[in-house]
Amino acid sequence: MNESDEILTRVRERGDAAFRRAALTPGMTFDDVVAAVEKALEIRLTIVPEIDTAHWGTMTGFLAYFADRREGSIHVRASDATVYSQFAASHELGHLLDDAHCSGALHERSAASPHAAPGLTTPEYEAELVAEHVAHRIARLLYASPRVAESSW
Amino acid sequence: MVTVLLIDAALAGLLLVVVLRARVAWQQPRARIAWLAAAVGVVALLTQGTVVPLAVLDGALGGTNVLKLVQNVLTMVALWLGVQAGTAPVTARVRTLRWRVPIVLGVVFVVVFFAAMPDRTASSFFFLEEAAATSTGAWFYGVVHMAGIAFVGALLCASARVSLTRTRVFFRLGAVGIVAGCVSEIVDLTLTRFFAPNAVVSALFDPLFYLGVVSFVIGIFVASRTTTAIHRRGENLLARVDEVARERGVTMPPGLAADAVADTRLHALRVAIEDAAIATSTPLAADQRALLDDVDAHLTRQTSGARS
Repeated sequence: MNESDEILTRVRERGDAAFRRAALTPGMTFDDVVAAVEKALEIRLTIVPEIDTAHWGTMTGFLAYFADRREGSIHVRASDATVYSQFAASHELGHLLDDAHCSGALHERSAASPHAAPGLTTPEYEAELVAEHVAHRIARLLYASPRVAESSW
Repeated sequence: MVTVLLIDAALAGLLLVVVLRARVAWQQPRARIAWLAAAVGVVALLTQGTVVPLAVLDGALGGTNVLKLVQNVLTMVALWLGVQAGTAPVTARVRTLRWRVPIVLGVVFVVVFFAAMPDRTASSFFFLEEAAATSTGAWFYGVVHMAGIAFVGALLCASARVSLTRTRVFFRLGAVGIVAGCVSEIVDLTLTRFFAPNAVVSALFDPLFYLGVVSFVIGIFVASRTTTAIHRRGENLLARVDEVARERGVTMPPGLAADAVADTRLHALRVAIEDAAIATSTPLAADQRALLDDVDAHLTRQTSGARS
C-alpha cells in the first residue's frame, strides 16, 4: 500500500465515521439531513444562498461556525443548480460532523480539487478529502437510495 | 360462463406476473413481496375450480367446502401482500413483514367458518350463496369474510398513493373494484337471506372483483415498464455525461467504488464537471448545461408520494 492509498483508506474511515454520527436514513430530504446534523451535534445551522458571489472565485461554499453559541451558517452560491449547491453545503456538513470539537475554524469548499491546492497543510488536505467523502455519502443517500415505488412491482 | 372467463382472465394475468417477474424476484429481495402476492393470488384463483375441478380439490380436503375457506384466506393474504409490496420500506423482506393483520383475519375466518356452519353440503361453486338462502350462519360467515377482504382492499386502495404515478390509476381502480365487489356480495347475501334475492345485485360481484384484479395486473405491468424506463434513462444520461466529462478532461473523483449504482456515478460526475468548469473558468456550453439540468431532474425525481 503506497502513501496515497493509505491516505484514501484513512479518509474513507474517518469520513464514514463522521457520516454515521448524523444517523441519516434513506428517504430523507436535504432539509432533513441538515436537521439531523443539527440534532446529532446539538447545534443550530442556517443555509444561506448568497446572491453577490462574483468575487468568490473558485469558492463554492463556506462554513462560519461560532462554537460558543453552538451556531453556524453555511453559505452557498444562489446562482448554482440546487443539486450542486446542496453538495457544496453537504461538504461543510462533512466538516462539522468530522470535527469532534467543532473548533470554530472557517472552512471553505473550492471547486478546485484539494490535490491542486499547494497552500494546504497535510491535516487540512485530509480534512478537505474527508468532508468531500461525507458530501458524496450524503448525495448517495439523497439521490441514489432505492425508491420504494421503483422496487416494489 | 362469463364468471369462468372473468376468473380465468384474472388467473392468466397473475400467472403472467408470476412467470415474467420471477427473474426480478430472484435477483431483488424487495421485489419478492410483490411476486409472492401474485403467486398466492394464483393459488387462490385456482381454488375456484375453473382449471382443476372443484370436486378434486375440495375432495382432498374432505369434500365439505373447506376449500372455500382456504380460498378466502388465500385471497385475503394475497391482497395484504399486495399492500405490503407498495408500502413496506425498501429494506423490507418477506420474512420481516409483520403478519399480525392477516393472522388475526385468518383466525376470525377459520373460527367463524366452522362455528357458524357446522353442517356443510357437498362441494359446490355456489356453496355459500346457496347455504345463505336458509342459514343465518352461512350469511354471517359470508358477511364476515367479505368485510375482511373489503378491509384489506381498502388498505390496497390507500397504498396506491405511494405507487408510481402512471400505475396509480390502475391500482386504485383495481382496489375499488375489489372493495365494491365485496360490498355487493354482502348486500346480495343479506337480500338472499332476509329479503328477496335480486338478480342484478347477485350478478355484480364477479365483474367488479375479477375486473378489479385484472386492472391491478395491468398496473403491475405498467409499473415494471416504468421502472425499466427510469433505469434506462439513468444509464443513457450516464453515457452522455461520461462523454461530456471526457471532452472536458474531467475524471471521476478517486475513492468512488467502481461498482456504484448508475445514479451515484451520475451525481459524482455531474459535480466533477461543474467543479472543473468553475475551477478553470470555462463555463459549460448551453447543451452541456441542459444535460446537467436533465441529470438533476432525474436524480431528484419524485416517483411517488413517499420515498423510504
